[in-house]
Amino acid sequence: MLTKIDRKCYGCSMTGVRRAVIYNNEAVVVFHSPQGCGQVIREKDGKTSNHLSTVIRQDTVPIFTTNISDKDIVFGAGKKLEECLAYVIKKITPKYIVVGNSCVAGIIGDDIVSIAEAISKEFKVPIFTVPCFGFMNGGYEEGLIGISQQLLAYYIKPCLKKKREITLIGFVDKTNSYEFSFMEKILGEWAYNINCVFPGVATIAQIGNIASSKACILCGNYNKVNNAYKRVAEIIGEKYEIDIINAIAPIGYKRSISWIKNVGKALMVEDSLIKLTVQKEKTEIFTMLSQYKQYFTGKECIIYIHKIPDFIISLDWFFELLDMTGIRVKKILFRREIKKSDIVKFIENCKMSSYVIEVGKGNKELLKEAAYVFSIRMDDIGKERLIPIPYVNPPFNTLGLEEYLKKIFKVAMKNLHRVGKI
Amino acid sequence: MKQNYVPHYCVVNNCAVYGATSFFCGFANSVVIINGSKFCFMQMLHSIEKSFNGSLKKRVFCTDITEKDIVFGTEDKLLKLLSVIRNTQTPDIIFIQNNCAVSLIGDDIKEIAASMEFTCPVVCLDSGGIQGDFYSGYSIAAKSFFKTLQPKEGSLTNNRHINILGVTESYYNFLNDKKELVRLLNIGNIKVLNYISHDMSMKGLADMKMASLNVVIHQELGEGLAKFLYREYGIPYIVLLPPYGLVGSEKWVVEIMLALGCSESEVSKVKNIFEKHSQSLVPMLQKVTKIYGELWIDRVIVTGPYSTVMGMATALRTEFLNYHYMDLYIYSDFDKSFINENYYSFHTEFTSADIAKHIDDNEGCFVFSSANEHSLLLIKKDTTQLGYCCINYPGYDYISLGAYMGISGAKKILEYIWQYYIRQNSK
Repeated sequence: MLTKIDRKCYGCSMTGVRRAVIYNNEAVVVFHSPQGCGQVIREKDGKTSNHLSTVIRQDTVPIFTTNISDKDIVFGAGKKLEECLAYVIKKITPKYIVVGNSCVAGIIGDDIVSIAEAISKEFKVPIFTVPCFGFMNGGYEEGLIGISQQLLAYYIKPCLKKKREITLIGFVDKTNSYEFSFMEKILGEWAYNINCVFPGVATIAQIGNIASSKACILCGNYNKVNNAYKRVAEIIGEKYEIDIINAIAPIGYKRSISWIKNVGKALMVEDSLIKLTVQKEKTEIFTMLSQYKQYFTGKECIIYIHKIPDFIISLDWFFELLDMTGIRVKKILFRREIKKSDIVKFIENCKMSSYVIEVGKGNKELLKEAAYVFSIRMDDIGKERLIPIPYVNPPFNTLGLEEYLKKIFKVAMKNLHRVGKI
Repeated sequence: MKQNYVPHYCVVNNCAVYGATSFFCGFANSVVIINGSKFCFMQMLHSIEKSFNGSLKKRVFCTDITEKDIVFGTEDKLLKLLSVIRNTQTPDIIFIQNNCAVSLIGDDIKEIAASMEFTCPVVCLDSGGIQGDFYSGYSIAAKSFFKTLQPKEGSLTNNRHINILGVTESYYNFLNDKKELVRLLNIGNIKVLNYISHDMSMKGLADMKMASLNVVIHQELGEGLAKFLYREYGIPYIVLLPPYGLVGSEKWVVEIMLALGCSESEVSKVKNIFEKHSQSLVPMLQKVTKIYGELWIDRVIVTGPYSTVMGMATALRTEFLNYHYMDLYIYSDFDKSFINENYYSFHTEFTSADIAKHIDDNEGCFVFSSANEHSLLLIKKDTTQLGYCCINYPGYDYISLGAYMGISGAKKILEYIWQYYIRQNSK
């Protein structure tokens, strides 16, 4: 009971502030906070290992902290913020600065807005601040929306002419995202360019051009942190009269096809061209599947639910993949400690009622009953032989599905050959 | 890095909550409560859990405070959590830490905890970001712990017993290095009573004062505590560079033996053992030197906290290789009077660009660092030219199943460097 993680967005506003400019090399982030906060926020979007060994994408925005310490509690840390902003402007010469505030800064009550305004005036560098402090006054969402709104207000150029350009709104890492590569490919086939991903990636020039985009597409709408991006999209839509396309995320096969159809229609792409794109996508997915079908067709699997996630998930894409590869679901097994009411709710949400449902103990014997055991949440028993279902970050279109099939194949080969505990 | 503003794109160091929690989790049957916001707690837990061998979720908890609690106090939430713990767990000790926001509002957590009347000791402290970095947190936690839990008086000391200070599972390959530390101490016939903080227990700590000496492995973690224990309980201490390299390992054991008052004949027996190990390597190294020439690396980079960097750099310089430049990038504060600029270039305030700009594209370079610096350098440098040994294990892009310290560690490091040198010279 104590370890249950509340899956609502409990984030810190400084994460939101940073994400608003995360892959941008024109900006610098200054946190008016203790030193540790800078590293904590930086690690959040990196691949962390432990406190002293981290791999973080190095093209992310530089972060500076004002290093508030217990000595600043009585007299305030405003002077430190002033010095830090001036230092950053001289050392990095950023085009603009965004300031995030820690909970400590909120409690000691430094006048961050006045300090930022004074430094901005003195050095003629725009400095954007937010009225939230760590987890207080709004948290993650307010931090992200606050900075995004100010960037739009400051840099966007009103423009009547709509180009064949699209702006993507969402938390998208362009270099590591099958979602982005899929959208770039499909929009390219329709002769549309992507102006930018906003917020997070867009440069000042690209923000300036957002108003000339024909439409904005909301990405990552499967993600639980997407509310803030939805709000940013609404602001852009209302203020600059741009169509916002909120299509279902291209996860799995059917949803990818649905994305193509819906977005094509919203952009008024010719029907014949949409049909051609759909056909191409179908061919691509079925060609990929044909390479793997020989290993999977006719095999049975068990889906083991060790723990029900604390937020609603969708497994449409997963059952669709099993169906397309010819893997038959023998049964869905819920761990016996899970409440019956939760099981009923989960079956309904994930549309599992047509399968054989059992409640029992997940153990190594399951591996003898079926060729594959897929799991939601790893079990301690024989976990190395289970295949996790990536319900938090589900696979996008052909490339994502292929990557997941490879994972299934590797675990299947391991189950076939390996003995021992390693 | 004592400065007013801190760039965060190279140095990897979290706040005091991480250090204090790492210390407390070293106590086997303990419960740790963070009286703070869930965001900070979750980030800390994700990070620390990855480096500890077992799961911490069942013994590290958070009160999940909100804005309302900052105004009205955290007492209700803390009491609620303590009551659940009292009903569901039987810990040997409970640690309660206020994070930075709560430490500012001044809730008396000691008083709140006392009202629950736990039968086990309860250690309370402020350990948020405003208290400092990982090292500060570790040090504050260690002192608070021993102030609350005083070791038994009047125990008989044994001149072969020591305590190891300044270690934790989440710090620099400790779990692998521990086996080598035990091996080295066995050579000197020395027994470890307690690792502070690793696998500590009430029973073990009761015998703590039987130790004749406290040996500090990582100065930045353990020296403050060693001084405190000397002051409070009179246990003498010794701070040595960690035992990297064969000579380094021999020196480490010998100095501990001398501090314990071992006889010269015993010490000379130990020296003979190390001599045999060194001799056993000579024929193989001679053969490989004959083929590839004298081991040479243009530039060696070592990054990390003071103890690890200096221990590793000393072993590399005096035992392992010939080099042109050796750059040492040090995270933690240290006494600059110890450094010798003739051998190394020291850097204490640095960014990713600063490390990368020191490397010439045409020179061979071997990096002993955490995965963080390695990932920075890979952007600038061709991977085939860059030798890498992740000394801060666990790491994200590396696996190490063995020690870097001691006899096995010396052989392992020597292997790494030679493999790199052979690869470079076989092109």
